Amino acid sequence: MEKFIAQLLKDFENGKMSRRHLIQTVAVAASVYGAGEEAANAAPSTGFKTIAVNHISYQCPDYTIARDFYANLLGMENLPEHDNGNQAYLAFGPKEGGAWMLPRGFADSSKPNPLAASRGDGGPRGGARGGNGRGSAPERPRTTALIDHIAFTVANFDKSRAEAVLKDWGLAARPDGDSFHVKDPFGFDVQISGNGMNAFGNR
Amino acid sequence: MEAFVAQMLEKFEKGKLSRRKLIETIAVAATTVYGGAKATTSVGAAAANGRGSFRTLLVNHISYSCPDYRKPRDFYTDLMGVDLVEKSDNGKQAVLAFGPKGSTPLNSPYGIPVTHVYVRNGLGVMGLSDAPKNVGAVVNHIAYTIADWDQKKVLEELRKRGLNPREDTPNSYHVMDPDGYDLQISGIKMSAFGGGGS
Repeated sequence: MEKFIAQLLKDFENGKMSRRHLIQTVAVAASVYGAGEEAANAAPSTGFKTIAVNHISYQCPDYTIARDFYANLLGMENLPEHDNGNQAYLAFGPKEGGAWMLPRGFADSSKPNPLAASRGDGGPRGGARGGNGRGSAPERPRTTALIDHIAFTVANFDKSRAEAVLKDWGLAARPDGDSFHVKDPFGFDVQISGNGMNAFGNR
Repeated sequence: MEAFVAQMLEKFEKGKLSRRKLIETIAVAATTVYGGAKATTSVGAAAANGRGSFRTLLVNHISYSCPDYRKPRDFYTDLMGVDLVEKSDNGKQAVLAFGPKGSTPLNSPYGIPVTHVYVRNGLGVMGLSDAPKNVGAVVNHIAYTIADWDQKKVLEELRKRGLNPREDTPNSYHVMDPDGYDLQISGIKMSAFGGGGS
């Protein structure tokens, strides 16, 4: 892409292309290229360089409700071929370099939703929801959903280097495809992913 | 995108932007948010073709609440290479930023959006006051940036859906999703810099 723009700019400077034509060509090319090129930030020596959200893992009692809501309201693209009956894949952003929102049922349905459990309302299906989320009393909502992890895409991901870095940090790293999960200082699950990581088949 | 390219070209011609920076900036813009231009539809058009009321482009920010925001602030900057936004640390929260190469804070001259992570004290903010004791940290809401932000149209659409939107700066609304989870819908100008909000 950069080479292409450089060439256009040269033509513009040499009078071979009008200003208007240059601008239009670049704008059109941009929409055609989409997000095809990866941003190649150099990884810092002691850690990673986060460049994007890869996916958001959203656990809830009924993933189909969340799926339909986010697809219908936010225009996220539901990919039914990847729907496994307990999880859906919603894509948003550019075709390449975009992100996924993953509504899914609770990982272990035999255990109550930790959010609900703390309130003693009997688990994800057991309690009042404090309204239906559609207009009644937005204050003090009782959410039944939990974002249990977020995956970040880092620049120049290299699995063996990543493993070494995480070991240096003393973090227990759980491999997951082209990525690792670690716990942050508050036990939140952070997934560190390569650019090529897609969420299909991964957790 | 055209307006953006024209603006960059003007800066280049006035000598305010190097040739190299011009090319890089346009290339990066093309591959990030502006790359979504082909998928961009107006609120009305999107609703009409059944692909959703809005068109989500990217994660605007993640709100991360915990007992001591300094821990994730340091962890994410040190390990994950996210940037601490200058002057964002107020002793109760800090704003972290990351994005593709060349991305800069939104109100800077180049305007390529980054994603922010707000790390903040207290599980009580934004409606999770009764967060469980056994949860150390909670992502209490996520803001998504949608295409073609038009405050009036967005408000109309959210009201039409009975979602009881709560305004958060002129550039975003919060609603509750069907699980009672806080969803923030933002325009592209929503940011820690001037766009404000949470």
